[in-house]
Amino acid sequence: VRRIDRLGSWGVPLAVASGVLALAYRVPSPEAVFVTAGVGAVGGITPVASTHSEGRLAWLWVVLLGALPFAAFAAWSRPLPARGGLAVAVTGIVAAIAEELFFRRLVYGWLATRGAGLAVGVSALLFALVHVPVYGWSVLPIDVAAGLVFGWQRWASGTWTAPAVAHALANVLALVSLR
Amino acid sequence: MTTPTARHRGRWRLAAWGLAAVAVYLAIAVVSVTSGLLAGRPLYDGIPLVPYRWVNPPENRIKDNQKPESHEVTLKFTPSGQPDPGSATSADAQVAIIFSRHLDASEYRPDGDNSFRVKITPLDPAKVGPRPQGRFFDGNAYQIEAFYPSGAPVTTGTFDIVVSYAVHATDIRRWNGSEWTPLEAPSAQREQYQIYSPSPALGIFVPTGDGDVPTEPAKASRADLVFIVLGLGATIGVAIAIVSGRRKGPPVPVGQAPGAKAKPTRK
Repeated sequence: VRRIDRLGSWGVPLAVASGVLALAYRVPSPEAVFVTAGVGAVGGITPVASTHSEGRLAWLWVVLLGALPFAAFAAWSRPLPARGGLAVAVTGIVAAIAEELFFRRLVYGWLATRGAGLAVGVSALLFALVHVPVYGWSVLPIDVAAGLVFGWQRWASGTWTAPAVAHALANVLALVSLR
Repeated sequence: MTTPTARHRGRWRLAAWGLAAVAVYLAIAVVSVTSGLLAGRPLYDGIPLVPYRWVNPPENRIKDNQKPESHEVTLKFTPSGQPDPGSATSADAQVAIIFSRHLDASEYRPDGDNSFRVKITPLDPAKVGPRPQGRFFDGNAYQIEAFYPSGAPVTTGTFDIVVSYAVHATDIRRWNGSEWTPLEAPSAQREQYQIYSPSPALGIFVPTGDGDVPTEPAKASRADLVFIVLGLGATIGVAIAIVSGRRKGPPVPVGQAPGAKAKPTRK
């Protein structure tokens, strides 16, 4: 029984490590969305301890506050044409949901028993690092910052769905010209 | 058991952390753009979905290549003298020209014209001129022309040229009639496979990369084995976690604060 318990403690770390490596190993191709979706499925079905915090904020407020910086950045920054249009937007939404299932449900849920700060920070760092092979190191700071916002949303709302909405919105806003 | 006051305080603390996260994001966004780390809005899962459209595709794209499209659009001047819209983008979004930066209306309509027409034509860069030494063409060449209603070409102004590339372009070059000359201050938006540079004139542009032979992105065949191994690892991990979770019973809620260790409440 002790051996099974010891084995059980490796289940979630193994799923997290496999998912992180799979995301980091994505190549820029249309098939990459299937890898992301697969990792999202892992994040969605792996059991994690449910967590709650004192004085949870209303889901809608958390979504709105979390989406605010992405909308502000989109309004301020240079609009660039997106390759792929609607197809890329749909991919961005699917990938956002999958990544939030993995990072803010599984990774966060796994680490939250050791403290929300650790869960927010580590999930944000892993989130940023898996994007480096595709995007380059230049996006690491902004992706860490985005991961912190998403992590805060997970903590404040108690659910991964709030950051999933903000993440999907951020991806869509990146493609939409606001000015 | 928590009192209403403690709950209220907890909510304020949550909101304060949220505002702090938002502020950090905005600060990093501004610094990233102003320092040139980012060319524009980042895409947080920006895997390009649509393959590059070639005028003259490389061998591995001959079967599935779709030809890029020409594009023509009329831009009107607003009463304040700005082109509206401020940019012209090809239908396949592989090239765009932005007029709205560094704008001096007098530069664009010296004779009082109230509109101008932009024409974008994709070309095979090898047919325009020989590739620069030590570089490869990382996409099509695009001829960008603009004319006033009178037929006179738009020759003055500052234009931002945005082009998509296929693999890894590091600059945009303009054909000066005898050779491809690099535009200054190229900036890439890697997640969207785009690069842009300001240009003092219109003409024919092409994205180019370092090296003699373009290196294609890793193919699925190389990735297959890795993903099979990772998929097996994830499956085993999930299975172990599920079996282990069933043995231990349902998960128990755990309360925690940021940076603070949660009290283990598992019974």
